[in-house]
Amino acid sequence: MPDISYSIELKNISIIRNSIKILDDISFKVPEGITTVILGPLGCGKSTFLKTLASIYLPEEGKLIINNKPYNSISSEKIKQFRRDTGFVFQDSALWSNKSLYQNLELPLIYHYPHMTSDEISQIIRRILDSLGFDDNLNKRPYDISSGNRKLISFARALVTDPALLMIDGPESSLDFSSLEKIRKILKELKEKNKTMLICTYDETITSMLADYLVILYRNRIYSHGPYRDIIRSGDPVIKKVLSHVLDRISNFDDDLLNLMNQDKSD
Amino acid sequence: MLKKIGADIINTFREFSYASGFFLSIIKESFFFGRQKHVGSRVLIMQILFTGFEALNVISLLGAALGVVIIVQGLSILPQFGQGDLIYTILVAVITKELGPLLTAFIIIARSGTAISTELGNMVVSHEIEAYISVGIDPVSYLAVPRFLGVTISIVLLNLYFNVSGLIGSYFISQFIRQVTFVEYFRSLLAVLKPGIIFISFFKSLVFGVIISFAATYNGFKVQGATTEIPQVVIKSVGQGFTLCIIANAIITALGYLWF
Repeated sequence: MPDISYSIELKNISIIRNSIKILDDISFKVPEGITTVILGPLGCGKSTFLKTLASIYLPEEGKLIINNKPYNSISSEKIKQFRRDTGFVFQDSALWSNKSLYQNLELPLIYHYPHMTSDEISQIIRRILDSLGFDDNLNKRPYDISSGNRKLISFARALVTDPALLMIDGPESSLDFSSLEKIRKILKELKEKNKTMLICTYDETITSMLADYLVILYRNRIYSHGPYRDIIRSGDPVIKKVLSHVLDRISNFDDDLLNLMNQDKSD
Repeated sequence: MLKKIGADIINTFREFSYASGFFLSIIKESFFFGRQKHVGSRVLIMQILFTGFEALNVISLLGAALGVVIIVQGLSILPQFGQGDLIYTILVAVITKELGPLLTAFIIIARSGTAISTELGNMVVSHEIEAYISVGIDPVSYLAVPRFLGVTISIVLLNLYFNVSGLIGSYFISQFIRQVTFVEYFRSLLAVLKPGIIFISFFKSLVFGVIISFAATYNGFKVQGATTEIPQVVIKSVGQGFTLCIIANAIITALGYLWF
């Protein structure tokens, strides 16, 4: 995959479902080449925010801007490329239930690279599954495997096209400890490659290990966003409340420990 | 009160414009189907297999049964008025021109229309449609178009099969009532089976295929996120399919009467 980068920006967007604003007047530019973690209490619109950035949901109000062009003025071919280069992991896996696990992984490749041979496709799939430590039978259907394994396949599906940008909604959900460890390891490797990543998570380890930038969503709006160090040290009561929900231990860290952790991160 | 009426009008207009946009999008993507046949052809084949092939038994049984009823009634009533030869005209008018396409459409609404709406509705609820969008696959071109083409192609073929079964079935039963040779029977049939009638029959099944597949896919995609919406959209899809097919049948019959 050649070096591709995308700038994504939301300008005053609102997402409305059944006359209720799920996201309200949000403006945000995705920081490129770093990992952004989105935090917020349940129901504050984190998943919708992520799906809007991935152009899965289109805003009723405001503008989604990709590479400095409003979404509506981008050709369908460019949108297709953008989505090919954007891996998205759904909170509930969202595997295609009428296809085998292998077909779930092969479809994005067949669709975007019609000239790729079945051997090449098979090699890519095998490599990604090996890195995830998945060794179950790929002829099974998604409903034949555990929710943890479904999550791993969902990760693999997002990674098969070697995306420049990765969006992950709840990486820790449905995973047992060892699978979660594998996912953390993969995410760390991707971070080392300077991939742009956006993660909605409640996992303390993923946040402390990966986050360069934090977005705090609160009551369907962006309450605050900024570099990880700045946000984590904020004395704002709402931020403290959100962090205490999500990162109970981190918010209570003393400065020395925080410095140690950040030093470890920069290493 | 006025506010509610106004809101209803706006909603109806909004739904109509959305449905029109969806329909145009399906038609446009159907022309470009060959461009992405490497992924869509499997869905198309599966749809033809389900709609066209697996319904063969029920369609042939229905066609033959209708042929039997017409031949029994016709051969027992018409000769009393000295109009025995009119049986061929009635057979062609009822089986080929009217009930063949319509009954085939009803069977397809009950089998495939409901299945498509349910499947797509479930895919919306389980976020599978979003997953297609996320990997860059357009759900209209990948999910709706193959179903649209599959149902339309299948219904045209099934109508043909219904006609063959109906006309052959009626021949075998007619042997119990009045002995007619196979050649004489089909010569008489072909004498009344004008190209205009064949065209109307073909055109009707084509239009019905478009209506059924459109109603099924449109309603399937309309599910918002609750499983309880799925039976509601299936009922809507069936209701719209039946109503629109009956109306289209009346319009085409009337136009056919004027032109042929």
